[in-house]
Amino acid sequence: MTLPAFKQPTAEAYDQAAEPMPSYLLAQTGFSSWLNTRDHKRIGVMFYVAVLVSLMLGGVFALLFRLELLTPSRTIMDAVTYNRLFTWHGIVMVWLFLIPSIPNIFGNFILPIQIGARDLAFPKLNLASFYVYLLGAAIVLTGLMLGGTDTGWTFYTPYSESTPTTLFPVVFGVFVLGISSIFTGLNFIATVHMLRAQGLHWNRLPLFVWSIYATSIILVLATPVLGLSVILVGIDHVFHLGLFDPNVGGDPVLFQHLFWFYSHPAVYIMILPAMGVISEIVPSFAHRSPASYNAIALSSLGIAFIGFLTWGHHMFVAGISTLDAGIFGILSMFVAIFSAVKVFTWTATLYQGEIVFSTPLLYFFGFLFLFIFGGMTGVAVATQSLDVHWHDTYFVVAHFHFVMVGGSVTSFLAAAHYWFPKMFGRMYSERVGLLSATAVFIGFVLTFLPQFLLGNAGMPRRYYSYPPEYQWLHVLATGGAFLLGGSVILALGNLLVSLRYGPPAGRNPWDSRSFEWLTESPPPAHNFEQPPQLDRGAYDYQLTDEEAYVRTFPR
Amino acid sequence: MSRAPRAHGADRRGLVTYLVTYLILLALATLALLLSGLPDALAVTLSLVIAVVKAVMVLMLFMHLREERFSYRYVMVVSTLLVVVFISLTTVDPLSRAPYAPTPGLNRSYGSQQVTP
Amino acid sequence: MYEPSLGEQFDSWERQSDTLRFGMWLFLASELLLFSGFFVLYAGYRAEYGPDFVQALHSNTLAYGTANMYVLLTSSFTVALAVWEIRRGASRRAALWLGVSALLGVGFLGIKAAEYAVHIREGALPGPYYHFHEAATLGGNRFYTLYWVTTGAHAIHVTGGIAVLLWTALHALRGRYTPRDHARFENATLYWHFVDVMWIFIWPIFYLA
Repeated sequence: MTLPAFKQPTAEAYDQAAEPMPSYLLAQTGFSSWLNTRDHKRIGVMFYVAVLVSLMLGGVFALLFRLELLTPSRTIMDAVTYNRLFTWHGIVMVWLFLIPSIPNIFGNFILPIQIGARDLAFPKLNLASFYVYLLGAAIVLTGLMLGGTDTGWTFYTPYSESTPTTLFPVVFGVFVLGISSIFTGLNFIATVHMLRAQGLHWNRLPLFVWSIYATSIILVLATPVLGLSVILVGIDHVFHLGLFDPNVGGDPVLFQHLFWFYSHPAVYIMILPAMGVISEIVPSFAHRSPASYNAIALSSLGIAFIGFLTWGHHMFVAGISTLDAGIFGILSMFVAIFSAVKVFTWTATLYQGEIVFSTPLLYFFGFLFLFIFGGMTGVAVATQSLDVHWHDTYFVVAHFHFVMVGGSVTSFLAAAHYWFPKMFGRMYSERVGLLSATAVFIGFVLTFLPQFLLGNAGMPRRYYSYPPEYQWLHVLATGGAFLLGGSVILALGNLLVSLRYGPPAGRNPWDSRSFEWLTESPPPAHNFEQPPQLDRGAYDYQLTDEEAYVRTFPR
Repeated sequence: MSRAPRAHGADRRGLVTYLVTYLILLALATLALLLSGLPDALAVTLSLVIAVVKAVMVLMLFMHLREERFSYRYVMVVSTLLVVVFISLTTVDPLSRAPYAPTPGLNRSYGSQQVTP
Repeated sequence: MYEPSLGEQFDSWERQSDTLRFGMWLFLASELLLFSGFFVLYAGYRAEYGPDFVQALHSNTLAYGTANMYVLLTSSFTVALAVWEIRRGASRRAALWLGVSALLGVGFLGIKAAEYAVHIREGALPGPYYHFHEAATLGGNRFYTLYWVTTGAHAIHVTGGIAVLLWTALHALRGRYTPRDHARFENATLYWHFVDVMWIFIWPIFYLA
């Protein structure tokens, strides 16, 4: 690549340089070049397809059982089918959608670019992670097709050890999916430690990278325990070893300890990347650096750390000792501190920023409201005395959907829009984007706000039938669910159509200073022609785009 | 950070380290065996302490953690602490449950039932 | 002849080696957490069943378990010797030591199999199949159920470890590893040492006290 002599290369010069490298989408053609790729960007796109299919599937399960719940007794299915449907909804949404969503799509695509690397530390392991994910998903879905289990996604013993439904393929599939998770987390941690570009010290790491790093610690350390607990249940189901069967001295509560040791940190696997996305969007659209970089970076680690110490709050009424319940209750309170630190920092970042209103920022506002609401109700249910009333009611269901859907899914959609121009080189329709973001928010609130009322009024979760006085709240929730489903499809449809018909996007449509916006849209196969040598942070908005470029690629 | 290939592991001293480590490990295993006859609480504590010492020796010397950069050791330290927390917070539960009084009329109590095939 | 390759994401051979080893330590951390579930169940059931549990412990086949402890410690030593050889570039001798270690691993499995046969004969089987008269209590049942799943999982890892050692030995014979580029060889040995470290904890809690 030739540049004008004795002149520092400018952003324009790079844009106009002869023979820009082909984008990662076009660098190699043919089906097999995708199936056998080592490119983290292609793997991210393949995960995108698989994960969205899972989202649709999990959503269909939900819509089906929400239809059933329109009337107090049988509407369209029997109780056994209903039990299976909410189980499958949970399993698919947690393990096939939420856990891989942001890390395996956007983590894969964006993280290496954000640290100035040419790929992840272990590209073949990355591809393996994708195929193991597909294998696990196939095994789970086979199990579902064979009738699927009805234990709830939590597989509580002793029922899960003796249920007449198809359990083993389902739990074995979850075990295999866990392996995919561990590979991913391992890859990210090694990448962040070992492949940072020159000049990218830990205290200059983009906040999204911090959040993925914290998530990866949980992925590597918590997932094995899930693997063990579900495979033990599976073995018990097949061979009747009675590990948790009281008839032979087993203690079902010990299974719960094992299960929740993973499943509580798992919710932080779901929210930390979402928070990382927000931490990128807010500075970009406020066009200023985060109010406190350290607050956001360190609180990510804090959430990962504390998240490991709180699992017993899912078991307050399971029969654990009062002492243990008390310990977990106190420890659970600390998580809120780190989440609150982030919320205040994001809000403070907007202050005195040059705010550009756009679809990703609208998703952020939805996220802010819903996450705060969901998080605070989390503190509420973590209060033992209150949880005695709310445990296993719709109150808890509403709480976790507020954080997982109102938080994580909203942020997922935000990321889908924010990084769309970078990943695919096109722009989506802003009007449809704003409309769908609004519709998602309204649909969500309509679905889940009534569920707080339902739960507080005593409606248990996972119940097939209910007293007629609860019906109006169920009808609202079902209506909202269909609106929510339609809005998500609208939002994703906007992106899908724009892949083909959207106007070409520039290198940096948001005028962000984060490092991924220095590459072409879409990026070339190896991300950077010359390795970056960073002389700035990721949020140096006091620099112009040109100055920022020069301080990343000095000549 | 550049480091020369680990020549110091490839010389005589490295070999002696491995041999001495091995012999100490054998001795510790034998010690644990001999101490296992002690009263329960003491035997459990001692055998676990000896196990920890053996494990640390294998980690640091056989697995060369002593020579590696801090972040590798950090991985093991964090994981081990997490395991300790996991075991501790879980075991607190059964250790501190208030036992229920046996239901009158039921002639078996939890924990000492004879199991028939 | 095997051509060593430097991944394009690495800027030096050393960085590649360091990263490979770091990745292995991360994997071992995940394996540690996997086994930790067994230790948690052990601690939980021991807390619940107390004396009955411990009595079953003392009825366990101590000789077999102890023999296996010595076997694994020895195999860790021979594996360390293999690494010492590969760092000097002595590929054939390194492969030989790996072979010895794999053989010791097979010895471990053999002793384990014989031990399991004893348990089966005595009726010390898991769950509802349990009919071991020396510890005919629920606590004994819990002990032996845990014993089977824990040592069974460990034996699976030993088997995997043997396969990994043999595979690595084969590649060493083909000249794949050099003093500069042998991270994968060391990673295989790290896995084996880990299997030993797990037994270092399994042995005292299931056989000694």
